[in-house]
Amino acid sequence: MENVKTASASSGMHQHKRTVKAIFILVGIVLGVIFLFPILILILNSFKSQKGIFLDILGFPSGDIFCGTNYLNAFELLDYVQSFMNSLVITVVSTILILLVSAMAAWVLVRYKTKSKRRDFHFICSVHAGSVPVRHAAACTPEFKAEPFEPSWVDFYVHRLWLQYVHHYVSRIY
Amino acid sequence: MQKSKARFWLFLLPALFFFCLFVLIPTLMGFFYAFTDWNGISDSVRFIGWRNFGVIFKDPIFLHSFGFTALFSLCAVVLVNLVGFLLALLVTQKFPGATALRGIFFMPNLIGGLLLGFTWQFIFTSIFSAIGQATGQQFLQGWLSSPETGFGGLLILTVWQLSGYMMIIYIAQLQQIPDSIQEAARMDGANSRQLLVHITLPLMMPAFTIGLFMTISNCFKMFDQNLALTDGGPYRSTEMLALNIYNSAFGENHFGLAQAKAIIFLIVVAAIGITQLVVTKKKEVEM
Repeated sequence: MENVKTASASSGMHQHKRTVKAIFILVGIVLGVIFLFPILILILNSFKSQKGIFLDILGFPSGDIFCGTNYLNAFELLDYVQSFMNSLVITVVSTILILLVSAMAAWVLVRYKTKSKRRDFHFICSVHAGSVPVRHAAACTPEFKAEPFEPSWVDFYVHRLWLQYVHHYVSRIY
Repeated sequence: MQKSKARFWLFLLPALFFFCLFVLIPTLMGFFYAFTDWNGISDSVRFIGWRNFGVIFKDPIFLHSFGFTALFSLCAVVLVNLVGFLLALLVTQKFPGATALRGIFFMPNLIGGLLLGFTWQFIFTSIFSAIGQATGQQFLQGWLSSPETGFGGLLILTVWQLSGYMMIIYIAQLQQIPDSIQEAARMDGANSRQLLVHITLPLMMPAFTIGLFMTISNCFKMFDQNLALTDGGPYRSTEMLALNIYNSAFGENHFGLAQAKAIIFLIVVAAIGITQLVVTKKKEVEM
């Protein structure tokens, strides 16, 4: 009698766990679709012609709407290779500098100073990383218009990302 | 002692150099320009005292923009962190596809703000109205054409984009909470709700400190998404502070005025950010 009771209780528990798991999967699928939807639209629209995007808003790119030359145009008209190289140079240079400079600073700040002083520096850095909006805006414009590469961008990215990384390192360590 | 002091400054020197060059000096210069009538191009820089600040506080567009940004930031910070935390709780459960979901939720962060803005503009204006026409729902029509829908659109875009990033921060903290503490609480008879409120949430506070700070500063500074999604429209009603400052600097060539706005902006964001850090730091507990 006792045995049967335990068995039924454990099977009920098992049933409960499976229901919870099913709910998780269901919620996960719904949220996943919501999060992926804009990216799906982005990809679908990249295969449609300019007219087709607005003629058949939700449709799959086929027939008259389909336009396979968008990617070719991107490479030729927008000088994709050049733009990509610009991004690559900025990313590589700034990542190396950021890692070097901020890891050095974070290391000595954590090793050598009292907690309060460290925190002050952390404050200053993180708060300043959030300021100077005019410079931020100014640096956004050339990016938007995809103008030719200028070395001053590197400065900007190094400046902004470096501060974020100091913030990140210091906050991680203590 | 002497030697280690030298090493301390040697290691800090590159960081201080970049900090002075790109943050400290421009900020100090900015404080100077805030009291001038410089138009950004000409050589004539006249000192005009507090006049810029007087103009700003009588400018209805700036004041509206300030209020809009504050309200938006409040809603976005709450929603982003709530959604991010719930997503983190979801994907740390054991069920098939949980790892794949982490990648999916984080994906919006891999695309730039401008591109996201234009994509969502298409979704709000074209797709929403197409769905609205098909189903007969009136509220799906005319999105981004009124201040309210512009606000809603920006909010949806921000929550969609930032919550995945916050989720990563919260996952990292959730995984640092040892199972033994949760097991001990369960032994003592705590149910799931008590476990969340009394064990998980207090131990999550360090992550909330960082997460809240990042969302607050990101929301106040929001620029790309605002520019791409609504461009401040209709009639500058959804123009946030960064865009407002940008427009008066580069659209109207009032650099001195824009700089004065930026100074006010800096002080407000710094005050809010530091207050939040101090308050949430106090709530952190030792594990």
